[in-house]
Amino acid sequence: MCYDEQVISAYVDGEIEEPLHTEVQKHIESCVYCRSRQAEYRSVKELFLAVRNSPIHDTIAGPQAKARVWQQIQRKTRRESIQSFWHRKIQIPLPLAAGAIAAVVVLVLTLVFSPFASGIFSSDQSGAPLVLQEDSRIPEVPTNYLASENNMPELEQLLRFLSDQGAAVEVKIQLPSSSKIQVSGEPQLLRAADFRGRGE
Amino acid sequence: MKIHSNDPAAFQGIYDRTFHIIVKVAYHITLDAEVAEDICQEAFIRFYHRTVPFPSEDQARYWLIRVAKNLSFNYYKRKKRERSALERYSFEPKPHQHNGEELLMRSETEQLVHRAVAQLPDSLRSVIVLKEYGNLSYREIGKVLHIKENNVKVRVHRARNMLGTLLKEEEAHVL
Repeated sequence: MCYDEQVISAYVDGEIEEPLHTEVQKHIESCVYCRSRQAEYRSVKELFLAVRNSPIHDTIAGPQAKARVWQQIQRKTRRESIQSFWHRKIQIPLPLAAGAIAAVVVLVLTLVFSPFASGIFSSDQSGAPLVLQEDSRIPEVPTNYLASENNMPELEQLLRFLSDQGAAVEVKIQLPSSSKIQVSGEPQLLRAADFRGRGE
Repeated sequence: MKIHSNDPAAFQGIYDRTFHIIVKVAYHITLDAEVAEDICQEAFIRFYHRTVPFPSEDQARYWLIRVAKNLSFNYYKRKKRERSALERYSFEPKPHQHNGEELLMRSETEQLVHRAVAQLPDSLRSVIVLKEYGNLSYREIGKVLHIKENNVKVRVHRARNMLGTLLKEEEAHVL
């Protein structure tokens, strides 16, 4: 009795295991029809083998193609990982988010209405802009900086002194009343002095 | 051992052992080397983005081959639709475009086989491509296509019978 053609096809593919493999082999040797089926399937398979041995078949799966595709994958995944850092979605539970918002609101309100804040800023009820309060602890500049050629300090020194004393420093700069002044020092100061002199 | 696709070592290992199968399968479905590389790249990027781990490396490979096979068939069908639309409106059949180097490298036998395989229905074509170009066993093909091993055997047999007839029609000296 002949085997099914599917078995012959599977035999050609080496997919038949022992002991059936030996039985099929013996049958094919003795059966003309099954031998012709085997030859037909084998010839079709050999055509594919010829294609597999063609140059392009080696080229498409060669080391150059492999490296090329690998580089493309690396480039794309690296770019996406950088982008995804900035577009990352974060899931926060609603109670936690509400708690965080409430904490921020309480912190802001505490800062605005605390004695520390009211000591620094005084808000006028009429809506006038905030002004710096006079503070008795504010130190005075030890040197009377007159805008003369001899004792005019470097502007950097003056600024350093001001920054060392903090923001609440009262600064008095006495500018010359005459518009005829010698050109020296910072241009901004000179321009201010010149303008004031003209105005008077 | 579970395979996490975003683990660099696992990813590279699977790439090294699967690239040649995927690119050959993609090429013999699309018949375009550049497209095959693009499909290969796309399949591995999808693999990289997959968050669910694979139970084994074999399962990861089957998944990759299935994705590449599906992408290749999608491409082939889209191109076929485009070509048929072009032919309808231009009243003149346009041959599929390949670059010159590819055409030179293709032997007459190769072109003959490609033409015959292209006429197979997708269910038989995918099986024969995975068997003959991917060099996968019936069991592996079954895992890739989510079909039983016996079904693979039936499809391979049908594909061979059809190819025999088609090749005879093409006046190939198969027998």
